[in-house]
Amino acid sequence: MKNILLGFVLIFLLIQIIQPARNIDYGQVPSTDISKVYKLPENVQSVLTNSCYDCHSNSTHYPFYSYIQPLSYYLEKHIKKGKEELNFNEWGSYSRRKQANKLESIAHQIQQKKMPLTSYTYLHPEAKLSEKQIEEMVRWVEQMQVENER
Amino acid sequence: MKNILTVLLVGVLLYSCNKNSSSKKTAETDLKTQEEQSVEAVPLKAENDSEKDIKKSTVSSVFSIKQIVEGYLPLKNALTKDDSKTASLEAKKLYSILKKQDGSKLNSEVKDILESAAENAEHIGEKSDDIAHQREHLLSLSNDIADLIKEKGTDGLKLYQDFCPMYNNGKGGTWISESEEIINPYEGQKMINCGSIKKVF
Repeated sequence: MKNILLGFVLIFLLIQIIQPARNIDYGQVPSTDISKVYKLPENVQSVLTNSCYDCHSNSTHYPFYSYIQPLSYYLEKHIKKGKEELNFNEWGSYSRRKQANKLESIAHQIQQKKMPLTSYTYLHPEAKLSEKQIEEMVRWVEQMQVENER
Repeated sequence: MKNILTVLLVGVLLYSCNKNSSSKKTAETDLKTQEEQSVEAVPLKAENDSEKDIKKSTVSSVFSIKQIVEGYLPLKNALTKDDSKTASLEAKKLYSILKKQDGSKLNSEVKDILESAAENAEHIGEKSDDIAHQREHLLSLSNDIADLIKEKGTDGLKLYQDFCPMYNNGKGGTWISESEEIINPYEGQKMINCGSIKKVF
């Protein structure tokens, strides 16, 4: 029993050596960021920053446990997938068509409470969106869609 | 002590979970490369029907509206039958068709459409357990196909653009159909005939 435990501890310590590259962008807000493309209302900007940017931008606010393996591995994979799907820092480089698609998907995902992920809000309760915030986001998307059609 | 043990156990569990999913992923990519190889006109062996189909529909690498529409229609038809599994399979085929299109002679608008269509097809392929999500992307994909037809014609196919005013919270949604009869892919069996012909190509 003692040996097994020791084995686990050893494995745990060993995997700490593997530390993936961090998703941190120390520079300024890039020129392709969504806030440079649209004039974002404050409430929308704060929702994006607080609830979306950890996985959908080039800059994640890492919690302390993110430095502990294997959690860090798990997180890094999540972030990579999230950025592939949608990266608010690269919004300006998306085609108009892609922007329109993403806006539509953002509204759907938020409205259906599929985003932010429950696994994320469980650890980041402050990122959870209130009914009011959900409504504000959906309304903002609709507004943008009307503007884009013009 | 108990706490440390729990942390360790959770850690080991998570680690093994990750390992599993990552090996699954490599298996998937393996499959993808396999498909791609078989598509690239090196017909070594076709182990199953779906692989054969993919090959058949994507032998040439020129741009062909016909290929794309013929990839789209079975996907749309699967969703009229509420069959998310078949829809996922057909979407994967459509994805590889779209990726095989030769974009070198196309203008940027058409390229954007193809890219968007491929992304939509990819999502439908991935979400075989979420038909509502598949339908959201079918809506976007159908718009892509309609725009593609506007740019490039139908390649001789007789097609209809149908419209259902109820879908998407009353915002409505269109789809492309090969038949004059209305068979709605968005609302499922309960409203299968909802809609009207908006345009004939």
